[in-house]
Amino acid sequence: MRTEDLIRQLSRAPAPRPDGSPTVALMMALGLGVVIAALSAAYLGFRGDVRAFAPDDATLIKVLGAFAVMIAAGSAALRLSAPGTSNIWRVLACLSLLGVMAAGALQSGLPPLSGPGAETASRLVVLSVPGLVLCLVILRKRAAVSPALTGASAGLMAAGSAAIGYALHCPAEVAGFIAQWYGLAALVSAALGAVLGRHVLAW
Amino acid sequence: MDRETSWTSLMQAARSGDASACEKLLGEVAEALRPVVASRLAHLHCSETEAEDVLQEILIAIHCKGHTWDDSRPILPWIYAVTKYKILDAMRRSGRRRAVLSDIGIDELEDRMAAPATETVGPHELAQLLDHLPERQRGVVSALALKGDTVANVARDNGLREGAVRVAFHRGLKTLRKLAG
Repeated sequence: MRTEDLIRQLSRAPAPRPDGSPTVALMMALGLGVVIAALSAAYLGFRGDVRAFAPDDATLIKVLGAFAVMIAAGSAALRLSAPGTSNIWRVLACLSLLGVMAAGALQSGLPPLSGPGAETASRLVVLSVPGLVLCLVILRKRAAVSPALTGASAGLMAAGSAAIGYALHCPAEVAGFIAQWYGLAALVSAALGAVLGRHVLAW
Repeated sequence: MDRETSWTSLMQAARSGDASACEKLLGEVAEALRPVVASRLAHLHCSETEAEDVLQEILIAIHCKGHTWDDSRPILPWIYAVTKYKILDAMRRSGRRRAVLSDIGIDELEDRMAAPATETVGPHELAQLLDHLPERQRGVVSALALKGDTVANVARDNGLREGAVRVAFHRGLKTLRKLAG
């Protein structure tokens, strides 16, 4: 087809226009991720301090840390999903990935494939999947110029939302344990997001 | 008015459904980007047609992904980023294509090099060859392949069904191929 004809046809067809802002859509998807994880925490049994409506430090650290990761990765994913945004967001996305990597690597040596840590991490990964899928569906309507990095950020924010809900159950108290296993789960979810994003977010 | 200001206002008008603004914007963008795309793809031995295909992909992306431009920000970086993404995408694809070519073994490559180069047919010779075709095939081939018309249009203009147009087109091409050797 000649380019002039294409231009004429394009201008006659109205451009697709997703309704609503992507920010609101992403926040709803993440909210849903938190709710799903919180429901599963309810099913598994809330922590004692949560049941007593007096969250202690361990719970607060988990929830606030997960919230910070979710917001940072979410902002990065949103900015990265449009062409021509500043490189600062790319750097932030990479930094948050590195941060999680560092947390996951806190304890040296290969992590044991069974035990409470592996159970926590695998639950977190499973719980972050619905949020990740929803976020990818939302981001797909946009135009990410680095699909893999955007997908990784989406995986990270989904892991954050899952961790907020799951923290209501998770009995872990030791900071090193939390950093390692939550970090590992976030990393797996980010990797999943990167692999999916490469295909799903390409346009 | 500089490009930034004029394209910004054209894009905003296009967003509110102004088809002529959209056409003007895409036309100007195509004009501005054509040499850029061509020069970027030149060292990949892309033909002019392939470069034009990439340009068309960029225009489609600008149209379909226009909603990702935040109108409080300048539009040129947005257009450049779309262009860069599509050019890189095309490079990756052609890289893969060349990787496939490089899989060919050395013997086979020698065979291919030894074979006489197929001559390409210039537009003048093509016009002469077209004269050998029966009238219906000649009309269809020149409309579809040379003028770039659509099958639907050709069918309407000649009072044919679309299937008949396609058949005539393929028969015409087959004959041409035989004639050109």
